[in-house]
Amino acid sequence: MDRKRILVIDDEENFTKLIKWNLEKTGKYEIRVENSGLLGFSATKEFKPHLILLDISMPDMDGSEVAFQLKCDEDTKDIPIVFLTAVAKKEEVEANSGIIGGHPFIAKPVELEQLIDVIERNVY
Amino acid sequence: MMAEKAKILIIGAGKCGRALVELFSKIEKITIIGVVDFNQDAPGIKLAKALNIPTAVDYREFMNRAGLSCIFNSTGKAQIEEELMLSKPAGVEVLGGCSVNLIQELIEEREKVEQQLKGLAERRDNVVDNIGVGAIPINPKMEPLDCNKQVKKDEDLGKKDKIIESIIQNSAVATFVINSQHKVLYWNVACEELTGTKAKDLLGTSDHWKAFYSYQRPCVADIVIDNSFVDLDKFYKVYQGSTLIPNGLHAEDWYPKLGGRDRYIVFDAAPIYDTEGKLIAAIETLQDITERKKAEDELKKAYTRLKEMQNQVIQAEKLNTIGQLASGVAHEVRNPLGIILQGVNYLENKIPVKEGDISETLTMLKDSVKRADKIINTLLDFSRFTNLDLRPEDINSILESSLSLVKIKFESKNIDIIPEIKKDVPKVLADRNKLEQVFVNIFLNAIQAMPEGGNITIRSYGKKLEGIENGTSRREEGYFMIGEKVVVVEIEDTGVGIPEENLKKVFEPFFTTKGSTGGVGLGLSVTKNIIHMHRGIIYAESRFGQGAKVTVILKIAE
Repeated sequence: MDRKRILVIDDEENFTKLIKWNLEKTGKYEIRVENSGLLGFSATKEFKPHLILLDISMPDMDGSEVAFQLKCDEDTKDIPIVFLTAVAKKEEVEANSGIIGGHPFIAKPVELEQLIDVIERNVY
Repeated sequence: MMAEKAKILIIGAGKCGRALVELFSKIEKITIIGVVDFNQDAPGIKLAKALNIPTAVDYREFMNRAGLSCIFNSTGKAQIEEELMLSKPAGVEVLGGCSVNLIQELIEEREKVEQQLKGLAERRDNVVDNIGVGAIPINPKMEPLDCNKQVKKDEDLGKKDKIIESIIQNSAVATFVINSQHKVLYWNVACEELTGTKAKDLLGTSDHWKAFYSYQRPCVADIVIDNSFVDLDKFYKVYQGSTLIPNGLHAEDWYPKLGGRDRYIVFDAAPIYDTEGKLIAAIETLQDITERKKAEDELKKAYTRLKEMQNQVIQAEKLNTIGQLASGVAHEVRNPLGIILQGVNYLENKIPVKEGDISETLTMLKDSVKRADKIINTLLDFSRFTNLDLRPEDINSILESSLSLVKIKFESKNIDIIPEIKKDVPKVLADRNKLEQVFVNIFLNAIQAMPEGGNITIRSYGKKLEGIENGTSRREEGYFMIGEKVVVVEIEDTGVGIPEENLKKVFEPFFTTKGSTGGVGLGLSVTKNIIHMHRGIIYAESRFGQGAKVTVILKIAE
């Protein structure tokens, strides 16, 4: 069975590095990391991920903006997104649900086990 | 020497001569046989003619009349007097010079005295007689009798009195005067206008209080008269001694129906002394400063409102700042925590299972990450309302589990718990964990209030809300309706209590009395937030030094 492609977009380099190691170690996922919203958005078309782990608070282009742009694009609009946030702004996500869809979110810090669980439930 | 009717001759018909004519013509026992002056237009000649007294230009015409007994020389001329002394018939007296002058002065003085008496009589008619009391003597100290001087003085005084009376009567400042027996001497026109009470109803009486009050009590002038400044608190909320006049008094107050409307009156009374320093009266002025007072009150209200709003803004700003701070801290702390946790997860997969101490170390790391994360959660809880997990809950069971969390502390501090819990309390719609946090916070505060030990009484009961309890805000009032069924929890301690000024503040963020030794002052404010999230009310009551009671009112589960 093919490994699922997961794109991790987060400006915390150490975090993404560990996520990549941890997830790839399971043998189930192929991980690509981007450390900015803008780069993550452009990498999506090329990498064609099965799921995107998307940090909300990022300096150049934040997670909700990235999600919105992805939804507007025919090629990327169906890719499931799981939000990552250190500031558990659940209501912020909810308030934008009309635009970015009712995506699940994960509050940092997150245990690997829980992360895999959320990925498995949302990946297609 | 004097016949039955003395016959006299008056020489000189000037001012003095005229006075003599006037005087003697009125005396029955005297007949003026003639008035002599070379000037036939002199006033004495005119008067004589009017009285049918013979006149002449030469005195010799009358010199030899039978019965002439006395010649008055009012010319003041020594030459004529010499002539008279030589030509007068034997037995005829000649009076002139000083004597005649004296008579003239006496006559003039009498006239003045008459004038004075007339003036006094008028005054008496105006004041004294009508009111039956003595008017104030403006200068009651009598000087030794010196006729001329006294007459002059009295005349001046009469004028002065009149002027003073006019000043009082016509002053635009409402004024009244009472004497030392508290009888009204003056009640001027402005005073009539202001109070709606007529002078005629008050003059001479001690009824001036009726103009202001429905029961008998002193006015400021009465207080000045009696020098009874001790009981002022009973009569006036605002008063002070005069800043200008010794023993003067200033007071002010509202009068709901004075002169037909609500008025704020400023009273100023001053004592009136005679020249010997004896208190004889008091003058009181009234000023209607209703408009100014209303404007002032409006301003005060506006200022208070502004202050309240400012406080609210500051409060909101505080909370906003806390919110931002909490988000910032959460972001900055949770990202590293996320890395640590992922790092631990990575290491867990790397190490062989048998290396017990390493996996124990990693577990400790994970636990620490979770603890730090919990603190951030509390901060976020405080900074914004998170969603509640509302379920119908038994309040008594929540109270029990809260108690079990702090039980050890109670025991160690020698604090007894007195439960007064009703069994059939209706269920409340509540987030169990959040409410536990509420009661734990209240218990912890009670423990801190009883360093020497004491009792904590815990009550829970259901009731119909009869009224909005004290200490609640408008927002809280909106949570409930009168008659609504509620559940009440009361936690009462026997500790040091809360000073009144702090009762509302205890629920404000960052309010703490613990100083550097205690917390940051967020506990009870988080508590209040949680109760608000439940659309409930929380308030504290206390008498400083006699313990405190915290009451929580919650909605029942429908």
